[in-house]
Amino acid sequence: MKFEKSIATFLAALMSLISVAYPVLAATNLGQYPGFLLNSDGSLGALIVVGSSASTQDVIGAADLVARLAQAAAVSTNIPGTSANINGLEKNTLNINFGNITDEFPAAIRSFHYNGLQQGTISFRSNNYNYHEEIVPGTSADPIYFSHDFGTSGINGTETMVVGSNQLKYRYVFEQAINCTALATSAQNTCTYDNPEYTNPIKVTLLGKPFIMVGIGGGRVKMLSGSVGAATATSGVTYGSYTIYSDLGGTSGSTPFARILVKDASGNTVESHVISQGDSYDFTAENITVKVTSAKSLTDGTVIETAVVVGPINSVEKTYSSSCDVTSTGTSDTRFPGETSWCIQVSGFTNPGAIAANDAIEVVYKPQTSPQYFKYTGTTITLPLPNNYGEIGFEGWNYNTFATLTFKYIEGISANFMTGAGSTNDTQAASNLNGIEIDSDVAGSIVDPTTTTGYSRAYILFNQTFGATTYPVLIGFYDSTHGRIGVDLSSCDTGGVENSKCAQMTAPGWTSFKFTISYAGGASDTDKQFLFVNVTTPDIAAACEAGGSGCTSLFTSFDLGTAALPNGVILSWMNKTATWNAGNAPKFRLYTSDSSEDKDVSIQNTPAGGGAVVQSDIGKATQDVVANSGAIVVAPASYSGGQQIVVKVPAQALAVKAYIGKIGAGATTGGTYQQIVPVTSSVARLDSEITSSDKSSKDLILVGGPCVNTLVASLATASANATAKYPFTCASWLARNFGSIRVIDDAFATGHQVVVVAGTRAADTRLAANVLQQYDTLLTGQTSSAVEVTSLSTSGITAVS
Amino acid sequence: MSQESTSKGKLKITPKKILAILIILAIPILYYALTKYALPITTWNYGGKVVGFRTDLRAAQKIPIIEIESIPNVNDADQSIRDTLIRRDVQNITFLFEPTDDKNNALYVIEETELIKALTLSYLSIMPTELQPTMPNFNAAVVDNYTGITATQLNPKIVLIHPNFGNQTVVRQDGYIIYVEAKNTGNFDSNKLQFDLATERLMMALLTIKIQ
Repeated sequence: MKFEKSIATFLAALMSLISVAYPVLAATNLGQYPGFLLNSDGSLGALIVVGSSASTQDVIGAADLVARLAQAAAVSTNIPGTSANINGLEKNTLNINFGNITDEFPAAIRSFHYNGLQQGTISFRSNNYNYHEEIVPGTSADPIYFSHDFGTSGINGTETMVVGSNQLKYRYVFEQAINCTALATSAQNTCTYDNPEYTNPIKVTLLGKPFIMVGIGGGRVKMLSGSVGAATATSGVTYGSYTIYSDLGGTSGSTPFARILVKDASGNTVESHVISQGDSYDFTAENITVKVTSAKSLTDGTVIETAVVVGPINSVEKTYSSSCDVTSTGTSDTRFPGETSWCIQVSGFTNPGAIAANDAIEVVYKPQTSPQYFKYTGTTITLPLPNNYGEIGFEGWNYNTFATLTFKYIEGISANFMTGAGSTNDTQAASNLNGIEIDSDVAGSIVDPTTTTGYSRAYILFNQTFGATTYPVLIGFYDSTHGRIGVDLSSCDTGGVENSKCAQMTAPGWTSFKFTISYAGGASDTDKQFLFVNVTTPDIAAACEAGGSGCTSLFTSFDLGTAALPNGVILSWMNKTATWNAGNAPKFRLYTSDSSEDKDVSIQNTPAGGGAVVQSDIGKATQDVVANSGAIVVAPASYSGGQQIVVKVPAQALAVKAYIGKIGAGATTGGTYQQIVPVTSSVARLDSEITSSDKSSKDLILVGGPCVNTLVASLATASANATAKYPFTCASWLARNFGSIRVIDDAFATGHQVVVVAGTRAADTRLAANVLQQYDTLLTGQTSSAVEVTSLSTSGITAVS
Repeated sequence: MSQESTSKGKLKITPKKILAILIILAIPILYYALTKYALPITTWNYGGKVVGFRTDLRAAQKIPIIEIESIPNVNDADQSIRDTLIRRDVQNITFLFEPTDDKNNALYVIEETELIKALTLSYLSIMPTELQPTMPNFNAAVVDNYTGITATQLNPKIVLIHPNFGNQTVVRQDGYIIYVEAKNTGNFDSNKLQFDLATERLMMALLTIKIQ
């Protein structure tokens, strides 16, 4: 009994301790928003509750909260690292046939993809504003793409990255509005286009270079660029070979001025000039312009600080509009400093003196000749952004592994009997055979489909005829152990049989064989290619695949391709002589002469820019030519004259490998980012729809104060058992205009929070909702569980108890 | 021994037993028919995620989608809407609505939330994992009336038309603008249902849901 009493006493003490300590230890603050509303899997665990009689402003506020929370619900997830030496995103699945960059890469590359890009805040007049940089690699409507179209000059069959004007952009995006006019230093200088603000401009860094925004509006931005800094009598701002100092200042009327000294590399003053604040001066001998944006001095003329921008004449102050070019000169030259194919334009900036959220400064690739072709010739080719800030890199193929097949005519050879898969005996089976040899540099890559045995060489062999109507065609494979060709005569047919290794065709007749080309033997079907050969008797060999006058052949098909694209590469083996009789096997050559001809070999390819597949004759091409099937015909002109064709067959389905970011920055091992966990249930409710179960099992965000949201009103009402959990009733709301955000722990149920977003007027509620929406900039570090809001800035947020 | 037990275990089939067997057989068939063709459907498995809906998908499917101007070369109205709203180059999707009285305004939040749910799920389905942070932004704005609204490929708009302003319950596509309109039945709860149905029809198009 004593023991039980001791336990009871202990538990009572513990409970009282918990009840005292719990509110202190567990009090949720607004700096933790929205983390406390998320479940352990990152999903949103809260309902957003709007008063049934909500005003329009409440509705928009709630809608904004919902939109933000939909993307805030996230879980930390690993981002894949790049395979080799790439900082950025790398893809090796781009389609070789008009594959677009936008098929595989994000619409905008951000800092979490490539950490050479920045995102953060800029400071202006004591406030911080969010921005981010991004690379836009074309759009799906106007994409950067890859092509190997043989018919396009500039591509000529080589896999090529095609980049047109205005597709590739760098963007500096203002994520938050900046009302420059409202914060301007004088009524005259209002940050508008016509009345620029030089004293306290908005400073940004584009592609690593400083720019100063002084005038905004009407879809235009006036910016200064060059070397930016503060000059005094002893501290200078250097541009090129010259350094700018300022040794004397004063005021003329109400306008400050400063004397500017230009010193050369040896420290000798080569020129000086007095410049008023907001003015510039061209030092023509030195070919530099100095713009004084701010001049501060003591009454005795001692310079405190003269803020200057220095750059080449005609380049310091520029106006950038919604479109730019790379050909204008003088003050209209909007090319990015030091670049010939990149210029600066702006998106948005319609409001005079104010930046709207999502306004952006763009640096756009606009080559004078468009499109530009970036051909892959064996090494990575890059299209760099200005200032070496990043690049699009075309690395070549997904896997650089190929079996190289050489097709050539042979004659007068003999073959032995095959005794099993891959083996022959000493007995000669046939002699004086003519035909085509297929030789692979990868052992086992030419596969007999009937036995699945792989070989390094295969043959289509023709024997002399036996009588007027019997035309023998044999399929041979190379026995590498004994160094001889083997043929299988055990089950000869009379033609009309697929995959026949021994046909003694009766005219009119045909025989065919379909070799499998497989680098690894066990590759999947999509990674295999097939060589399909069809032979007919002379009486029906009236036409060949190459077409053209006099094009007749015993081979009505000699095609290398995939299951989906069987005619990727077409070889035009034609009869060199018409003879195939009892004394002679036929002889062959490529097309109609012993010299190189266009129709010796053809490929199927897709025109640049898309469209129907076309067949192109490539026999005289001097460069490697890629077929839609992924086979690469190696420099046909180098081989076709010698009656050979060399084709590289990829070990796996061929695709393009490319990256956006920077190469040589060290291999990345990946990182983490916030992967969105989608909302799958109905999270927005009217207050009238909330059940007691919702109250006991969910966190709640209540939008609207006690006058419009019945749940807030209920929290503001004290009961016999508990005090009010919300400090204001509709009647006791304070008689001043403000928004309010308050987290209440255990409001309706232990362990669950309620966030109340309210305000005196509907507009105040909207303001509070906007603050909550921008929690990551405005509430970060907030240690209070309640704040009052009077403006959308940190200075307008006050912690309250 | 075995013969004896066989004779003892012989079944006597009576009409009652036949009836009982028929009833037992009919129950799963009836259950299947009910769930497949009659009972309301308010959840749907979308790519392994069970998505909840406010009202019956079967009823929502009856809401028509009308194309005033659809995406070229797309014959299917649902597909046309998906091609408009679910694109990797879309930067911003704006919800527009005309304010009504205080008793009805809140419905806009409900419907917008449902649509954001469907849009988010759709976008996640087309984006490789590491691309997910670049989803479009969603925001809301009010309009004075429903005329003169413009939109672009990169910034499509979804216009919510409250039953107080609507003539019919329908989803309409006019280029890059999608209208979700509910008819006025003169009763708050019924109006809410109509709005839910129109919204849900758009969600079905986004999530490629088709009820047999």
